[in-house]
Amino acid sequence: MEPGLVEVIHGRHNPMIDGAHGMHVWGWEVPVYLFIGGMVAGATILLALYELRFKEKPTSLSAQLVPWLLLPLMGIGLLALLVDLEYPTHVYRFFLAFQPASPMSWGGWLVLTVNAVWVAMGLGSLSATTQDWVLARSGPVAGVLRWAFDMGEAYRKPILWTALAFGVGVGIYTGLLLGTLVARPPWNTAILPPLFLTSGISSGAALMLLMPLSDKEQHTFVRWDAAAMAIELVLIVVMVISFVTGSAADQAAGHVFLGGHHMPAFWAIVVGGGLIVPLLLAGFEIAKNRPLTRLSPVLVLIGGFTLRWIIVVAGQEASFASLAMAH
Amino acid sequence: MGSTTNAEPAPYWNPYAAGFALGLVLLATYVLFGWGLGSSSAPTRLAVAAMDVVAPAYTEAHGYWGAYVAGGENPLQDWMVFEVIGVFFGGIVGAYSSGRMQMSPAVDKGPRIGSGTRLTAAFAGGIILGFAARLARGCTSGQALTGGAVLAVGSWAFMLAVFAGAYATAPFIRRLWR
Repeated sequence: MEPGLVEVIHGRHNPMIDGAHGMHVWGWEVPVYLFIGGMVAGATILLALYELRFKEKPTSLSAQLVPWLLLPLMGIGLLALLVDLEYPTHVYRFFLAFQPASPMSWGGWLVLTVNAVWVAMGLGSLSATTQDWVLARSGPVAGVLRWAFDMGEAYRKPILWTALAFGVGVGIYTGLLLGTLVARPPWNTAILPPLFLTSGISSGAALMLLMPLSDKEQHTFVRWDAAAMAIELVLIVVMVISFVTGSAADQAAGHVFLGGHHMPAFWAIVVGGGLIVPLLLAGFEIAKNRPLTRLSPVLVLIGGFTLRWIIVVAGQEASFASLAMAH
Repeated sequence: MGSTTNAEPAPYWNPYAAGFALGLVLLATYVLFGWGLGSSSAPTRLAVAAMDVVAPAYTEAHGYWGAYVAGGENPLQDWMVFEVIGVFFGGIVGAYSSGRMQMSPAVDKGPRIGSGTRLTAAFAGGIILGFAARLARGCTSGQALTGGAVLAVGSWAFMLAVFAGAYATAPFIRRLWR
């Protein structure tokens, strides 16, 4: 071999997985699922926290109905995930076993059981007036519904704590799932789970802030949303610093956010438009008492989706094989 | 909500202070990014990107637009596109902080014309501006503001032509606003 030439030989040549262009197995489906999963988890956490903090149910009809909205929303996310599968009919196999060491197994069971938590949460979220309205129109199942409403009320506190735990679980597992994949440097960071969790909380708040809420709910969610976004901003800075000061693999991952072709979209749409601008708007809303603008939650949702899109795409573009070739 | 919020708009900035601040923004973009301010090439790039999705072979073969997608390049991966996104975000923050943000379907127009006339005139003006900006290789931001700041002769000629054109056509257009 001539001096200065480095020959790189590796035995794997799986199409769409190995090679200079990296893996491109996941398309739009996975980022869509991760975004919706994070958003519904965030909304669950915020709703549970609201009731635990103020010891009262949300007064607006929209907030009372949010747990019922989360069911079909998660359904859309899971549908996207199902479309991504090569053999969608084999999905039931996931629920024939539980692997405690597998984040995917935890996630599969969490996204299944969280539906029951939303039903329990939703039963107790409805005001007495709304419950009466539903009972008057439920005919032969009115008795069962009355019992379900009573159960939802009687066990309200444990249900809310369970919802909080499940919300954190669903929000964090998506990041954990990617973070444990060592071979993809941009995913392999311990910051990813809390980053996806806080991003999910701000997206969940944004979802609710697009609805007609009471003054108290709106002001509370704007403040909690701002806190989540501030933490998310810090996590992003810490993640980028840990990448650029880390190993060669970490530095290659850092290139995604500093210098790579995803850099402009990441800093402009995720950080600028999705975090800094909504944070400034929240600051003006709080400090100058400006009326809430619905543009802010829209920007948060766009930023939250773009974050997951970039992370998923960038992770697939980077691998140790492509790193070795680059050297 | 309306009873507890402050919707009173803040007064406008002094125009000289705003102009000075804009000059500092221009300086900052040169120092940080190596590019000045501009805007008209962003919609051009957006149009080329849309064309590239619909008719990629035609776009690549085109004498003018083909340069934007040469070598498989993404036309949206450009400083000007992200600068315009930043201008949009900055505009939101500025309008909201001063209490001037309005989400209203009402069309801002002169008292004697209808919304249809106003929108048609704006659309026609936009087309003329976009076409002229491509011919001149820049608009009032890229040529007058950025080129003028670095004393480019062509940019100063452009600026004088813009003022001459504006004074020549304003008598016909201003009736739309009276």
